[in-house]
Amino acid sequence: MTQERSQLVLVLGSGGVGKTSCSASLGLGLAESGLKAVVITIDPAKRLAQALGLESLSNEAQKIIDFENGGSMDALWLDNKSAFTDLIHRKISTPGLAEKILNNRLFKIIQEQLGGIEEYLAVDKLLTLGNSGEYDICILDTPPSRHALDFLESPEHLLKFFDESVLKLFLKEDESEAKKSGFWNKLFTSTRAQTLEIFKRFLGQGFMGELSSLLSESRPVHQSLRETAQGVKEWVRQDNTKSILVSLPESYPIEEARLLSSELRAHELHKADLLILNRTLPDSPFPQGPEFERYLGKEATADLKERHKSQQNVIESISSDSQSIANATIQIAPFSHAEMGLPMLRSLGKDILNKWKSQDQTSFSKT
Amino acid sequence: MSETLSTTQLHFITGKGGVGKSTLAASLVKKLSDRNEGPVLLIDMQGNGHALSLLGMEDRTNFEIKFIRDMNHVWACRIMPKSSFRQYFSLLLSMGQHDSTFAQLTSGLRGKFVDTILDNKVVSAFVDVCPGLEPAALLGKVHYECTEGLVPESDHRWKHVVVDAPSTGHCLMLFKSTQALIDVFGSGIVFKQAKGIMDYMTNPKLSNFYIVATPEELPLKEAQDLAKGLETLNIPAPLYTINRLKPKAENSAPIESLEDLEWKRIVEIEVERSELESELIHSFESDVSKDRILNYLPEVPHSQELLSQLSEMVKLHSESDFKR
Repeated sequence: MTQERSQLVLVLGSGGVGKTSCSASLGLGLAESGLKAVVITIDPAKRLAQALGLESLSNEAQKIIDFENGGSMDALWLDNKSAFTDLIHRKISTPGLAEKILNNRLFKIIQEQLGGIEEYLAVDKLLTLGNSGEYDICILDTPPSRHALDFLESPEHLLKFFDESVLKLFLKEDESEAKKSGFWNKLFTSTRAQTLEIFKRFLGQGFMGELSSLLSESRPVHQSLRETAQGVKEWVRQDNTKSILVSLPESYPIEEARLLSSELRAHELHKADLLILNRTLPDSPFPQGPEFERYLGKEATADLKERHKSQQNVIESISSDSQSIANATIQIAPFSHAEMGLPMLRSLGKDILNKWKSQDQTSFSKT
Repeated sequence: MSETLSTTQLHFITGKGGVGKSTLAASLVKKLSDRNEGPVLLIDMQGNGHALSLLGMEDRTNFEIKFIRDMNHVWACRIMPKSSFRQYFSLLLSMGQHDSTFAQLTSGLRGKFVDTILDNKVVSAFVDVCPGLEPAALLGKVHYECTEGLVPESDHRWKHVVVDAPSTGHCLMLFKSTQALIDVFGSGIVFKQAKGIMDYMTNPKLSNFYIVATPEELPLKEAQDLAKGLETLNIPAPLYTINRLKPKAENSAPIESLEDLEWKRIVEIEVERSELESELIHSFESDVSKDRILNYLPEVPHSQELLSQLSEMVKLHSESDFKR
C-alpha cells in the first residue's frame, strides 16, 4: 500500500512570499523531468491561476501540461464550499441520510466554523489523490498560516467531536446500558445526568436535541474520518516526504520561516529539506553614482538600496547560523508580472531543482 | 443601566495574515493613550503576542490583564484562539452567572463543578469541539470587557477596548458562528450571550471596524470579501488602512541607458511593481469608495520609534470623513 502512494511534498510559507508560484514551478520542473506531479492549492492569485490555465475552482485535478517523456502536471484548485457537500454525499450511502445531516441546524454552524472542515477537505482530497496511483508526486501548497501544519491534525480534531465516549454522554440509546448496575455505572449515570442538565440550561434544549441527532446520524462518517487521520499521519512521516519553506530574505518573513520550521518539529517531522529565498536582489554591489536615481526617483532608489543592504545582512546571518532553518538554502531572483506564464514558471522550476541538487542529493522518483 | 455604562468604544482590527494588523492595533493604542481619554485595554486575539511585544510586554500569560509600563493608562491581555479548555469553560461559566436559572443550578457547586466537570475528559473533548462555543467564548470575553470589565484595582470601566483580531477568514467565522447560534437556537445562556455580543458589535456608536491591507492583489481582495461578509451580519461599515506603501518609482531617464543588466532588470521590475501598486490602489479606491480609506501608511522600518511614528500618522474611526 505504502509503496503505491505518491511521494509527498509539503510547501510552507507565510502569505505573500510566492509560495503558490514556487509550488507550481516545482510541479512543472518535476513534470519536465518525466514525473507525474499534481499540485494542490487553495487560493491562487489571479495571475497565477491564469498562467496555469485554471479557469475556475474545481474538485477534480485539471491537466496543466503533458511532456513527451511521460511527465505531466495536474493542478487542483480546491473549492471548499461544494467539496463539503460532496464529501458528505461520498461518505454516506444510506438514502436520505446525507440530506438529513446537511440540513441539521447544528451542522450549519459546523460549516460556518470552517477551521477544521476546510482543512479536513484538503487532507481528504490529498489522500485520495495520493492513493489514486496516478501520480508520482503530490505537492501540497499549505494554507498561509503560522500553524500551517494544523491541518494535518484536522481529521483527528473532527474525530474528537465524534469520539465514542462523547457519544455515550449524549446518546439516548446508551442509557439502558448504563442502568445495568454497579456502583461506577450508577455514579456515571448520575454525574452524566447532572452534566447534561447543566449543558441543557447552558446551551438550550434545542441545541442538545440537534446535537444528539447529529451525533447519531453521522456515525457512518466516523470510520472514514479515522482512516483519513491514520492515512495522513503515516504518509507525512514517510521517509521520502519532503518539506519546503518559502520565504523572502527579509527579517520578518525569515522570522516566520523559523516559526514554521518549529511547527515541523512540533509535528515530529524532520527538519525542512529546502529554504527558498524568493525575490532575492542581485548579489553584486548596489550601482554607485547619482545616475541610478534617475531611473527610479530619489525615494524609491533609497528604498531599494536599503532593501538590498538588509537582504545582504539577512542572507549573511542565515548562512552563518549553525541552527540552520533547512538542510539547503537557495536564492531565487525576482520576476516581473509581465513574464508570468507557463514558460516562466517552467524555467523557475528548473532553476529551483538545479540549485537544490547542487547542494543536496535530492531524490524524486517514480512510484 | 446608566448611559455611561455603554460608552466603551470597541476597535476591532483585522485583515489578511502578515499585513500589519498587530502594528496598527499597537499604534492605535499608543494614540489613544497619548490622548489621555481614559483607560485603554488591548486584547491580543491572534495569540502571537506581536502587538504585546510592540507595547513592550514580553510576559505572555493567557487571559490575565497586565498593566503596560511607560504608557498612559494602558493594559493588555491575550486570549488564545485555541485556548486551554479550563480558561475557556470558566469564561463560559462566568458569562452565565447573571442568569438566575443557571446560577441556581450551579450555586455552591462552582468550585467543585469546575474541578470535577472540567477534569472529565469526555466533557473536555466535547467543549473543545462543540460547534459555535469557541467563537462565542472569544467574542464573549471582548463583550464582557466592553460592558462589565473593570480596570484592575479600580471601579472604572474601560474607555477603549482595542482588539488585535484574527485574520480575515477566521475573523468572519467568529461573527458568523455567533450569529448562527442566535439564528438557530432560541434559548439557553449561550444564546442570550450571543445576542448580547452581536447587539454590541453591530452598534455603530460603539463598535469600530478597521481592515488592514497591503497594496497587493490578495490582501486587497480579502479585505473586500471580508467587508461584504461583515455587511451581511449588519456590522457597521469597516474603514480600510492601506499599509506598507512603497515610494513611487518615477523614472526620468530611459532604462535602456542602464548598462548593468542585472540591475537593469531589477529597475524594470520595481517600475512595474510601482505601476501595479498604483493600479491596484486606484481600483480599490473606486470599488470601496475613497472616503472609506482611513489611512495610507508608508513602510516604517522596525525601530524604537516605530510606534511613536505610526501613532502620529494613524487616524481613528471617529476622525474619518466617512459618513455612516
